[in-house]
Amino acid sequence: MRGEPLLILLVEDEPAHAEIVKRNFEGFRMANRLIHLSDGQEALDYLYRRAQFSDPEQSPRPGIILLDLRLPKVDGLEILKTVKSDPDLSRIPVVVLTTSSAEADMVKAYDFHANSYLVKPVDFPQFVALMEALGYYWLAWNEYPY
Amino acid sequence: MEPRDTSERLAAIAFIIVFSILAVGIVVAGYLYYQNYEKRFRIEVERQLSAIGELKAGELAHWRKDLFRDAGVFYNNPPFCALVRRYLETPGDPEAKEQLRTWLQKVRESYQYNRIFLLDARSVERMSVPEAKVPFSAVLQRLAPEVLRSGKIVVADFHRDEVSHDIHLSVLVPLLDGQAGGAALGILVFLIDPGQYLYPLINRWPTPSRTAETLLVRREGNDALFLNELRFRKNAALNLRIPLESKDTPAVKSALGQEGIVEGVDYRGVPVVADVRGIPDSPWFLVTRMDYEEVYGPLRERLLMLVVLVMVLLASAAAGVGLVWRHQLVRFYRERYKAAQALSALSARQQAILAAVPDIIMEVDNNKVYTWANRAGFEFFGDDVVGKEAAFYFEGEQDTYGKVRPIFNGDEDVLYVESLQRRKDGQKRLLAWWCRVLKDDKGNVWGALSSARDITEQRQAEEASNTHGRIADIFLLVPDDEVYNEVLRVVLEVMESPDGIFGYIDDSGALVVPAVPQNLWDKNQVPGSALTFPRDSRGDNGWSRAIGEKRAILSNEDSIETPVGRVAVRRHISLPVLFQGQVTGLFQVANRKTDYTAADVRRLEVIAAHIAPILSARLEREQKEKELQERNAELERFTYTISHDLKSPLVTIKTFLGYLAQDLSSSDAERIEQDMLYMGTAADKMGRLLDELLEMSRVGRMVNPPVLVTLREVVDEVLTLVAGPIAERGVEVRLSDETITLLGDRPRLVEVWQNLVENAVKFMGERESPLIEIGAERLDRSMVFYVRDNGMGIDPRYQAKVFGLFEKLDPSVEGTGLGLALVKRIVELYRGTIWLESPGSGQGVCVRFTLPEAVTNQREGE
Repeated sequence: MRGEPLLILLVEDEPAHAEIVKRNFEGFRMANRLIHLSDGQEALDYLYRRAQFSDPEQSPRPGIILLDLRLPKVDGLEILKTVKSDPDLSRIPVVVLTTSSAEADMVKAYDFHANSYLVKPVDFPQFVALMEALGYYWLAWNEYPY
Repeated sequence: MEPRDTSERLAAIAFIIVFSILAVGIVVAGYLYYQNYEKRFRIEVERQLSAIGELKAGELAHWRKDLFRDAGVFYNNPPFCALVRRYLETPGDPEAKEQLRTWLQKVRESYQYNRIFLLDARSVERMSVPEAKVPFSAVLQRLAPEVLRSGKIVVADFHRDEVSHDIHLSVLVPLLDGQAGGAALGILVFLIDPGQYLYPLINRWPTPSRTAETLLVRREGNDALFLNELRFRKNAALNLRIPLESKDTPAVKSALGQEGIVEGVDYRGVPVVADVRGIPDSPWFLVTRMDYEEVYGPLRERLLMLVVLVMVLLASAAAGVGLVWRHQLVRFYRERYKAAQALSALSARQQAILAAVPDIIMEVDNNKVYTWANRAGFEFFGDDVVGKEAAFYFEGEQDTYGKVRPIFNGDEDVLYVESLQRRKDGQKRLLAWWCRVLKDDKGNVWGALSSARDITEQRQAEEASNTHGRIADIFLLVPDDEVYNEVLRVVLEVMESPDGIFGYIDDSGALVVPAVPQNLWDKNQVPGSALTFPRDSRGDNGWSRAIGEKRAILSNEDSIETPVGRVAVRRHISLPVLFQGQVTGLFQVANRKTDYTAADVRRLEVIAAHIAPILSARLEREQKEKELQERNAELERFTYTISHDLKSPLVTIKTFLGYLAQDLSSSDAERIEQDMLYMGTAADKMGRLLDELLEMSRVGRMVNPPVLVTLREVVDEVLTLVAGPIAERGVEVRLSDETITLLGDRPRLVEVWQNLVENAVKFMGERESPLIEIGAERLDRSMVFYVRDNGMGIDPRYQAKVFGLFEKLDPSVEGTGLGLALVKRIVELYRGTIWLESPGSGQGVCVRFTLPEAVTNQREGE
């Protein structure tokens, strides 16, 4: 296991949903840190350390990206594609977390090498269970090359 | 032609034979007539000569008889004898002397003797009447004793007196005295001068004649002696003598005792005809002669006349025959002329027919050398075709000779063969030949008569039709992404070109080449997908000119520029595909081995013309498909929205409901409040979404009747609706003075401006003196509306996204992202387009749009 807490980058335009994710990870035992960005452009700026994220100290590399697909300015799939086609970023696991269960989105996400595709359940217990499993899987069990 | 010559020659021979027979007849008749005439003439001449001769001979004989009779008076006359005796015995008796003289005087006078003299028994002259001084001739002296002895009358023939040289003829009469026993008393000589009576008698001719004469000849020794004076020679009497050897001479002939008509040469050496006869009881021969020339002169004249006559007859015969012949000939030639005319008319008709035949007709001999051509043939091959071998005009390798061999072998009578041949203008043409064998009478092949038709166009049309068929099939059957490549493949094959492109012109005017043939590029630089050449990128090359000038560009020169990686274009045809005056596509065929020609351009044009409607239909279909796809995408986004954007607040509500339950149990008041706020917000958002979705579905479905409304009215209404936010933010709104009347669904039109003004206010940012300008301006014939603000502006990267359904650029801003999508739908409903211009963040936005079907040309107050 690691000593350093895992940095989670959450890209989510819906504040309510961001709150849900935050609440879930707060209740999690594993040490972690969560950064929430609410549009696609911000996410790319953060990853490439541009604009307000130009200071590397302020924008450390995330260990995992939780990505919504429907995002203002730059679409989630576009971010996925950019990340996965960049050798510096491609190893970062990208977990798509979206309300869309549309097949087109799913297929495209996998085509762009999404590491996982999760649909936000409408049912509260399920949502909580999902977030728990997600946390365990990615924060506890998953091994990272860095 | 030949038989006619023969018949002509036969006719000529016939006429010559007829003429010959006539001529021979005339000549023979003439000859016979002449012979007969000559015979009769000769007989007549002979009869005449004989008659004269006989007459003369008779006269001479008569003369001699008279002479003897006269002498006889004294021969036995006793009284006279007694008288003579008396005188002789008594010469001095004057009475007797006187008596005797008187006697003699009287006798001489009455009988016209030259001289009468008396010789006594001793031959002495005793008396002479007249008196003569000269002695009598020696001839008489020689004769006197003979006469005295014989007592018979003797004629002393012509003799010449030695003294006087006169010619005399004497009759010596012995005077017989009966008393003295019969002895002669003396001789009485009667001397006759022949010149006085005899010669004129002889010389007298009963008819006038140039050459006729009678001559008297006597044989003397071996000569014939002429006795009288001759007509053509003086002093001939008793001088001229002709030897008896000269048997040709009539005088000699007569002297030799010949009688009758003789021909010969007379003393002058002139041919003569003569009657010769002897005078009875005399040594004389009478020659009655005439010059042959005089005798036969008339005959010759007659002969001449006859000859002339024969000639004339011959000439007439010849003329007659000639006339008939000529007539025949004229008739023959007239017939021949008529025949020739008929033939020529026929020939002219045939020529006209052959010339009128549009097909080429050629005749070849066994060596395949052209021997004849009709007009079409000359027009195709040139005027010098006759004499040239057929192969001279072949284009390319061909086995035409092999194919027509059965004709020349005699195995086939008719054959069909197609052959590429060179026309006189150098063009390669495809000819369809029907070859027919030509045989002579014996069945030997001597050549072939071939008719040909230029089927180049026909074949091209067939090929074009075939090509069109193939292209149509490709459009129908081949998958979309391969259509262009397949069509291009067919076109390149037809145009015998290795390289080329086929592209279409898209909405933006760019040339899109969907399928680039691999061989157009170097091996390692084949682009994977369609190439697009934007309108602006075109330079001054074949494609651009073809598209720009809407016509084919033909070049057989190397292109100056070859883009990197592209195959060099050495020669090409670039041809726009035109449909209803619009360039819809472009063909380029390039790098054929041989130069392209105008004919190639035409072929390609035909293909392009055929493709144009198909291509247009296809492009239109693609456009429709694209629209349909957009609609589908929109629909998909719509359903996606249902599944995502509606689901999203639902997820929020349900999740926070769960938290709320947890928080209620733990009585965390702050969290409870938070949970409920999230839920409320989500529910509001959901409600708004549902409203806008409803509104969206109404657009194009619910239509209010169109009304006339001015832009000002619309804007005023909008400003009333958005008055709150405008006032809150303190935005200045300016409306341009342009007065425009719109015709349309008023609430929808208001919606357009309302959304745009709302957006402008919403994204005004923190800017001082915010301003919104509304107006319209005329650009290129169409009215373009604008709503301009000086707010936040939009990053150029996101400008294309803003019209998308549920697209939001700023999650923090209120709204569902449906506003601009709604505007776009309304604008499109009026066949307009919408776009926005923004130099970038913080520099404001100008939304521009057109509403072609809502804009009327009416102006306010008009």
